[in-house]
Amino acid sequence: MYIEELRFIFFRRRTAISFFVLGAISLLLGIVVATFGNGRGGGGGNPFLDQISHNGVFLGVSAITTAQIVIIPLVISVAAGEAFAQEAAYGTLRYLLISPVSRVRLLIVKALALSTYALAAVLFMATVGLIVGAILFPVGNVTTLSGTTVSYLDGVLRLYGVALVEVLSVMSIVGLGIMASTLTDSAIGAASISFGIVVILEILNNIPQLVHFAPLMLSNYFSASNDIFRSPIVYSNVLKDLYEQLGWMAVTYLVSWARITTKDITS
Amino acid sequence: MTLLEVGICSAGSLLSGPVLVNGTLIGGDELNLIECRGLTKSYGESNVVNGIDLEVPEGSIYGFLGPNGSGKTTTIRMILGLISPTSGEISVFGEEIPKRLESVLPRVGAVVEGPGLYPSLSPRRYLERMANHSRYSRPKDQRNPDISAALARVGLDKVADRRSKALSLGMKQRLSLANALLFPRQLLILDEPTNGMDPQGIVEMRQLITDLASEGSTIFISSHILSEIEQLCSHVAVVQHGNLLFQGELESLRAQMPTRINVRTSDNQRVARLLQERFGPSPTLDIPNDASDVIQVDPAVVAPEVVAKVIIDSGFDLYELHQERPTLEEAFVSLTGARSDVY
Repeated sequence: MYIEELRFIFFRRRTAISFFVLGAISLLLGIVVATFGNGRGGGGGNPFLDQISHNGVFLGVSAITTAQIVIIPLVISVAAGEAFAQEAAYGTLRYLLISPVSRVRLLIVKALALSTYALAAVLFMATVGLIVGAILFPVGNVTTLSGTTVSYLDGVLRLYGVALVEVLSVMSIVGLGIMASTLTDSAIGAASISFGIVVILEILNNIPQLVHFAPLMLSNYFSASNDIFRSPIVYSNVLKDLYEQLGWMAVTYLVSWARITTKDITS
Repeated sequence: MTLLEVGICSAGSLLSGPVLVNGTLIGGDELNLIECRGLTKSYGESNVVNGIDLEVPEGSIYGFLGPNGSGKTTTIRMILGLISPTSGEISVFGEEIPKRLESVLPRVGAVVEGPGLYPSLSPRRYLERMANHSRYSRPKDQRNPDISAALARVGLDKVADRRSKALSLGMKQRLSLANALLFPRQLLILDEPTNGMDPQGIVEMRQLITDLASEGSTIFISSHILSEIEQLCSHVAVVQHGNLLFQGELESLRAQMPTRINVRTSDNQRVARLLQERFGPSPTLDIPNDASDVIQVDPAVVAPEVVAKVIIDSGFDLYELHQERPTLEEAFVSLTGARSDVY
């Protein structure tokens, strides 16, 4: 079932397009930096952007940290929002359920397959960044944010570390998308609900008065990935991110479970 | 037979054996594959399905008839566990729905409210996906169905690898049927299976259903195309506005309808008058105006052979005499009213 669901997700045009978009971000970022250099005052809040021209390994890192606010949540919301809503719209949900698949099992399989999709998408982005970075920029020993120097291989491993922290940070978005998908029969509606919630939480996260609620905001620990490039690596924020993600996953999957197991399938 | 087995048998016959009511044996040893008691589904104030009792005997081809919006599809969805009833009970194969769905559904093939396909998947991939997802509900030896055979059976083998969105509605309908036939099924539930099919397809579908029934499947088929049901079904149920108006053998539905004798003679006018003189005004339902018309006689008042004898003895030529049975359509309209209320 899991393999069938993976095959279903990966062998469709939308998935290819989303991978293309994510890969293009790494590529474009590389070309822009290679053409125009770092630019004055470069990077803004992103500590890695300045580093790209010194070491190609930072291209993948920058691409992920740039994309994590909007494009990655969007791509994942779109994919996860389809989970049940698209099946309902096609009329295939009723045929799956009478084939039969238990509703709980279908939920679990969809959640696993979409989490795998999120993993693959972010790793793909990191890999494109790594390759383009190695072609356009010098590679060699990597200077960490703490000022120490580690080997290139260490740097590459840390790039994938950043990618995995990012995957962790979007696990709740997979849950959100699936939850939204059980609430409506429109895939685009579900994706909008899911992405809308992510954006609202990001906005709330930036309102100073709500600082006490910050640990609840999805995007609050997105910057935890920066800590991977410290020396030694700081795990405390990653751990907090993990707790936050587990909390959001518990809520979203509980709602999804309650909804899908009791829903009248009239589509 | 050991004592224990005797005990079990008699207990069994107490539960499901024949029952003597007013000197008639009813129930017999036939099992009802689907049984619904007081099945109701309400949305807000309105009851879409209103206390329906269904009994679908094993081995029957059971026609489930009703105008559009009469609650047929909602009933079918409840039987398949897609919708939970507001009240009432359902059992399939004697097992409670929805509690025992996972043991019941692998033995049931269904087409529900038309095809539901993935536009970008080919028919072959569609069936593969359905089989893959349901594999853990089946015994190990039934997990890899013969997809090519299922496609060939419904005549889709030539388009097996084409994208589903390129298929015509009739072809999609066939693919849906192939999905229902992917595994050996004891029960097939077909909701309007010939929707969108061409006449050729409808004939093939009828043949297929007859074949499946002769292979031992029980078939529950909903439709509003009555001529289709009439040629197929052994049993029918008629629903309207969520209420069950009739359930039973097709023959007994027909028997409720008045039959008539159509007579054509060398002089219809005089024969009609003659019959009226003999048997009172009631038997001749219709006195024709010109010679080519037909006289209709109520067989409940005068038997056909008596009519024939009277006509011939009086010296008229009898061209034609046949007793006409009401069509299912007439029976249906008399049950549901001539106007079709859709809402």
